[in-house]
This record gives sequence, structure tokens and C-alpha cells, in this order.
Amino acid sequence: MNLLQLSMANLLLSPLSTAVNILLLSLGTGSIAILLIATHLLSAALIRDAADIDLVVGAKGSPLQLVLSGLYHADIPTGNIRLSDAKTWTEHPMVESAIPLALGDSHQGFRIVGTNEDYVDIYDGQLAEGKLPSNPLEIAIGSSVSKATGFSLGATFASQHGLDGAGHAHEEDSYTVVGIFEASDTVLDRLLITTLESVWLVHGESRPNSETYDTTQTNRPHDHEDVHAHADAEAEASEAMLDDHDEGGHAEHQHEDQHQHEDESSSEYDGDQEKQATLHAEAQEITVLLVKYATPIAAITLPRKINDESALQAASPAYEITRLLQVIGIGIGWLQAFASILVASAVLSIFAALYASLKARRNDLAVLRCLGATRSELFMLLLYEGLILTTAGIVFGLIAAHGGIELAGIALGDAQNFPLTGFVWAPTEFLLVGGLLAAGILSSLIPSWQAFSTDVPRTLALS
Amino acid sequence: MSDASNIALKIRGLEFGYSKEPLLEIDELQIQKGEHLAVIGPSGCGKTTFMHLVSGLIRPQVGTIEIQGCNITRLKEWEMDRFRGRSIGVVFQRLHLLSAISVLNNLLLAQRLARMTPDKKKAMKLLDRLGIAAQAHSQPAILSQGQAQRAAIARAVIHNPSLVIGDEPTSALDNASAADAIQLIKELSESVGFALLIVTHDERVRGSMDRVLDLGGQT
Repeated sequence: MNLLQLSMANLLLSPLSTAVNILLLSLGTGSIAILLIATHLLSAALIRDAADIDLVVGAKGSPLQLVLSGLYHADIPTGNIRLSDAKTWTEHPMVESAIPLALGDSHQGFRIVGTNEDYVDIYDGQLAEGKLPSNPLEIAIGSSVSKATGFSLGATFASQHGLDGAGHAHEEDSYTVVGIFEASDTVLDRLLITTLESVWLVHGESRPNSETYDTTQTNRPHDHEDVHAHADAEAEASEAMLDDHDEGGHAEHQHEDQHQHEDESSSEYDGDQEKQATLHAEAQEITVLLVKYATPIAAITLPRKINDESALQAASPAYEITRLLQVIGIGIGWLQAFASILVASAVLSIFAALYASLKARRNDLAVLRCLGATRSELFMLLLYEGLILTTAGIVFGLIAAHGGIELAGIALGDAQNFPLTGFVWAPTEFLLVGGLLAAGILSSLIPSWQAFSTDVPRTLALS
Repeated sequence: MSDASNIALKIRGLEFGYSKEPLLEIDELQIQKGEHLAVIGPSGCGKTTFMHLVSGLIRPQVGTIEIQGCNITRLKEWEMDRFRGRSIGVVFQRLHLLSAISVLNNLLLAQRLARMTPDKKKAMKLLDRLGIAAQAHSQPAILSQGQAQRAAIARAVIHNPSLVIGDEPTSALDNASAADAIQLIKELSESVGFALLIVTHDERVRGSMDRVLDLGGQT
């Protein structure tokens, strides 16, 4: 039996009060911890998935939407852009690399991305099985996709148009799974990677004599949900274009709204294959270009240049995400303020409990002095009680927060945009724990000081 | 002839008062190890103050108090606390066992505060000797008055003190329990070798002590 055990025993003497105090502090701690962990997970995922991409180039619209859709696959794309327009910038001297993405289709809620090997490389994607897609309608799937769909190598499936799972299925062109990626804890886990050509093929663009390519119609509007426009194309022509740079690609199909088919002024089509190839290649579309700068100065000039001098939009992930986090931060700030009030209430409650218990135990303190306890030991006795309550509140609060997030992650599954796991420790949690311990000590100081100052002869005389 | 090493308590030229007028004056007092002294006197004569002085809870304005050769009036407060834990045992008028912990743990805590290694075996043996081994793991609140006083006596002597001070230890007990408690504490005094100083109004106690110090008459 030592003083710490005595402190524990003193707390157990009033189990209900002790439990309520711990519960109060756990609620406050847990609430703040959840916010800290969620913010940490979000920030980490945003940084990880940004993969050092400096600029996202796509159709005009909301720059944040462009970044969220093109980089994080968490929003609807702003639209498509002509490959020929994108090419202007892929060859710009300030651009080190540019990776094209053709988006718009999905399977079971997981997005299909038409791109090239460079996209896999920026996430250090490693194949667990199979190979990267190289032929039409071959596809490699992320680890979360594999887990959710149960697909193994050789599995075939039809993609769905759109990203919400409500679009029509491209039954006529089934993809075949040729590769499965290892888990990378990046957005790659939740994607299905195919070639640009496959995306175009599915949408009829690369299919010679495609029915969807109607040379007799010009600037025909297409409803996005049902029909998407196809810029037709020849695989050779597009490859020739793409070979110049690592990017390449032409995608097309609009995403949410209706769009008009640009191009296709094929009334002039006269069967000249070369002319046709060039024409169609120019008309092919992609959704975004992920750009890395060749020089730091590009950060200042290139986005402005693209935005001012072209029909395209350039958005900086760093800037847009900072803006997003600022907006989210306002909400988080309010929630944190509310949770802080909970914590403050809990700390006051601990103070009240210790103070009340001190008054009831003055005799015990005097007896302890008679038994040989020093003033400092009495001080520590009360301080231990405050610290035990605080520590228990912190521990239970953190367990609840981490456990809750882990359970939420399990419940939401792999399809969510940002993976949730309770098995992380946000650096800011150290501050939370330190702050709470300090608050616990502060709440115990007055009762501890009173214990320290106990007038033993007077207390014994009055008892 | 008294052997100096055999003196448990020695007081010389003691004066203490809460105002200019001294409440307590003792020229000289010695208690040998194993000796039993009753401190009596009318209410307000300073019996409790005397007990607090001897246990080092308050300091005299004049004079010295030596326990086992140590002048406690010169000790710093924390040194006095530790000295008290090691060398003095106290039995209170009311029971004052710590209610949050078991009887056994009350004893083990007293050993710890005496800076001894808690010895459960010894504590159990003592409780057994006092007839309350069965209550070792009970909370003090469920003990009878007599059992609780025995437990308090056990706690006061568990660390082999030189001096045990009792502050009206029998006032809350019936005749049988009081006699029993005094008999037990005297037996322990003889076997452990501590001096016993009991502040009391109780004639039953007074009659069983070796000597009596009447603070009302300064005898």
C-alpha cells in the first residue's frame, strides 16, 4: 500500500462520482481526438494523393472541383478538354511531365481512369499480380477494388457511365482484369487503371466505323447520361500524338451535364484515312492533365498563362487544398470549441469532486500526518487523485476516438474517398494529452494545496 | 539509575502557551521504555496540547523534548514527520482508521510511512494476536467499535515505535472493551518495548498505568 494506491482507493470510495468525472472528461477528450485524427487523416491523404503534382489542367469551372476530381477522384470532373489543346502545354518548356487522365466511367462506385504507366509510377504502384494494361480493354485494379469486387485476374466486367453508379453500362465492351495492385494507401487503391485507348474504345472513339461516330452530324449535342459524344479516333493517330510526351490521350465524354460534341465536322470526311486520323486525333478528349513543373518559376507564370491564354483552366493543388482546409477548418474550429467546453466542464467537475472529497477527508489527512506522511505527500495524494481521474478520462477518450474511427472505417468500407483508420496517431494528439494533463494538474492544485496546509492539531481537536 | 539508552521520552524545561500566559509548564519528565504513563487533568489544562507537543505536531516556546535521544524540537517539519512515522505510534480518541482501505492496508500503509518495507506477514500476525485476523481484509466501516480500536492499536505499533501516545483511546468503548484494549496495548508495550503515554479522563485507565502525570496539579 502506497500513496498512489491510497489515492486510487479514495476515488473508489465514491465510484459514481469518479465514473461521472471520467465519463465527462472522456467525452471531451474523445470529441477533440476524433477531430484531430480526422483532420490528420484528411491532410495525410491529401498530401499523399497529391503525389507532388504541381498543377491540374482541365476544363474551365471550379478550380477546387478540378483538383478534387482530377487528383483525388472525389468530385465530378469539370468537363473534358481537347487533347490538342492539352498538347500545347505538355510541350511547354516549363513542364517537366504531364500525365493525361480520361475519366467518366466507374464500376461499383470505383472510378476507371484511362491513363498511362506514369500515373501508376507517381504513386509507386506495385503489382501484386498480373501486369499493367497494354492492350485494349485490359485493366488493372487497386487493392481496395479487388477486395470490394472480389475480382481476380481474368475477371471481366462492363463499366458504367458516370461516377455515381447510375449511368448505363457499356455492355458491349467488357474490361478484363490483367493486373491487381498492392495496397499503396493512396488513391490508387480505389481506382481501376486502363489505357486511354480503352476508354476511347468503350466510348466508341477508337472503333473504326463506329456507329457512334456519325460523320453526317456536326456539333451534335449529346446527353451525358445516356449518350456521350465520341470524337472518334484512330488508335495510331492518337498514339502518335501521345508518343511525343508521356501523356497522351484523348478522352471524351462529358460527365455530368450535357455537352456538345466539339468537332465532328465530318461532313468533309472523304475517306482519306490520314486526314481522318489527324482530324479525329485533334478531336479526342481527355479530362485532366497532371503537370509537374520543370522549374520553380513555373509556379508563378504557368497557371496564369494557361488560364489567360487558353480555353483551359489550371489549378494548383497546394493552393486549392489549403483553401479547402481553411473552409473545413472553420467548421472544425467550432466543433473543437464545443469539445473544449466539454473538457473545461470535466476539469471543473474534477476540481469540484476533489474539493468536496477533501473536505470530507480532512481527518484522514490529519491522521496520515500523524502516521508520518509529510505535507508534500499529502499534496501528492490529492494530485494523484486528480491525475488518475484525468488520465483515465484521457485514456478512455482516446480509446473511444480511435476505436470509433476504426469502426467507422470498417463500416464505410473501402469505397470512401479517404480511408479511415483508428490505428494512427495524430501529432496534435500529443498536444491534446499534454494540455489535458496540465488541466488535470491545475484542477487538482487548489485541493492539493489545501491538503498540504492541513492544520493537524486543529483538525484532530475538532474531530 | 536510569540508563540513557533506555529512556523513551525526556522533557526538560518545557513551556507552551497560546498567549503570553503559558498553558503548560513541565520542568522535567522521563519515561523509560516499557513504562506506562497516564496523563490526566481537568478539561483545558493542556492534556491534548501536551500530546501534540510530544508527537511533534506543535513546538514548545521553551524547553526540549527528546524521544529515544533525539531532540525533536530541533527537527525541521518534514524531518519531524518522518521521525514521527518511524518512532511514534498514535491511537486516537475516535477511531480514525482510513476508511478507503482495508484494515490490513491501514497497517501496511503505516509501515510504508515509517519508511519500512511493508510486511504483510507481520501485519497478519499482529492482527491475529489482537484477535481480528478475520477482519484483515474488511473495510473499517463494518468493524465493531472494539474491533476497530484493536485495529487502531495494531496500526500504532506495527512499525515498532519507541513511544505510543494514546489520546483518550478508551473513551468510546464500553467497560469490557476498554479494559481489553488497555490490556492489549500494555502487553504489546512489554513485548515490543515501547513506552506508553495515555492522555485520559478514564479512571479505569489511570488505575492500570505505572505512573500518572496530573497536568492540573503538575504532579
